[in-house]
Amino acid sequence: MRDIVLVNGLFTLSLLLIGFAVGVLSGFFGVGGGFMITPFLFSLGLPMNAAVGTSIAQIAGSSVIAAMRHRRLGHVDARLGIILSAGSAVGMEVGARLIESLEGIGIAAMDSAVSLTYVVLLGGLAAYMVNEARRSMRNWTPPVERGIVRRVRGIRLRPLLAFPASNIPSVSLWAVLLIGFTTGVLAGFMGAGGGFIQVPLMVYAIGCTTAVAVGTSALGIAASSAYGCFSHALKGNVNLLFAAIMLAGAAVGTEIGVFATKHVKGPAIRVTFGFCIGLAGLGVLWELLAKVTGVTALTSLSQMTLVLAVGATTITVVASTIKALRKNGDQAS
Amino acid sequence: MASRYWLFGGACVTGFSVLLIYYAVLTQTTLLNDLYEGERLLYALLCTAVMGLLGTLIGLTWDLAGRARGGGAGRGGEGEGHRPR
Repeated sequence: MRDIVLVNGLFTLSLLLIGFAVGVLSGFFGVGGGFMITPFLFSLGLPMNAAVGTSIAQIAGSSVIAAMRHRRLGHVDARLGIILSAGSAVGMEVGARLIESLEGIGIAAMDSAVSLTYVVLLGGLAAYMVNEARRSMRNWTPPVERGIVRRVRGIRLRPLLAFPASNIPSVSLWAVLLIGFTTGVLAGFMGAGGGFIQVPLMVYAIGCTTAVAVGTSALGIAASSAYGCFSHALKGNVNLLFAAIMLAGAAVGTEIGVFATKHVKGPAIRVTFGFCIGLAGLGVLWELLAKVTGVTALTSLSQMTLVLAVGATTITVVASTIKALRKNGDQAS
Repeated sequence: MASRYWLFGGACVTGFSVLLIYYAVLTQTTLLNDLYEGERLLYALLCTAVMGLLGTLIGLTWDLAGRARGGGAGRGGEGEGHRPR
């Protein structure tokens, strides 16, 4: 009896901890965090379909918290979010059909294609973001003054829209829709929410400020994960108890993540984001190599890399928050 | 002072909802595979509503807590578009 209580206690504690970590990432980066919860729940013994469904249910709750808190801080551009979501919805369908056509060729080919896309995309984005943000920290050149943003904003295909909340004076509706569509295709193809693609695209392609990109992405994820939660629950894939326990952890983690965006500078957010997705990409690379070579130790290495990515990022964000709180305390006194 | 009451109320409602879900799921999970189509639809609606509601309540609670400690709206710390003088 004592053993059962102990095991259940540890199980609940681990759910709370993963919820907390995902909450921090959701609040700080505007990502859902499915790439982390799904393998975690799977390793706890849930079948893959239940792991995916429960993960999406938890994301639905935590992204609502993140979106509400970012809105309070003025970090949500609802109009931009709606247009991006419209483009993303169409793109998701295209991505899902792409994956179906690959499935026709063979499961192994599909797995390899998806893993390879993860490695290339996460690795490329991480390298670009870390490099760019470090330059920004040295020279203080905001992304809005750089070439890609100028070129995208230079597209004069009507209608042209202004998004004052995102610091965008004028941009073509079609350019915004294309960004949403690209996010959707990649997210649908890779089976992800798309936050880790959308946030960098919003910053580097249309010159949205980092905090607004994070907040607006959280709003989009809230909408798409609510639909995902409904769809998975209909198939009996959602364990509401597990999702609720993780949400209790996320309740605290999200607040810390959102609070940190208020006090940490944009380039610093992008560097941390870059390192996090870079490590996640490395984890996927180990997994891919494990499949190709059949070396099981690489699978363990992959899981350890993912844990490192999440753990290191969470600790960095929590430490930044504590530092900001101390600084505020010093200024107040 | 009124914010503290709101905060306390929000925390109570959130806690109660978690307990309610705990009870509901404990009695339902084993039967989930045997549910009829209509019941599955209800379960799906319940899951989505509960997660959305819990998220909203927690968000509201933090909002009220933020107001109670005097942290108002407004952007800070972004650091983009500014150059050091």
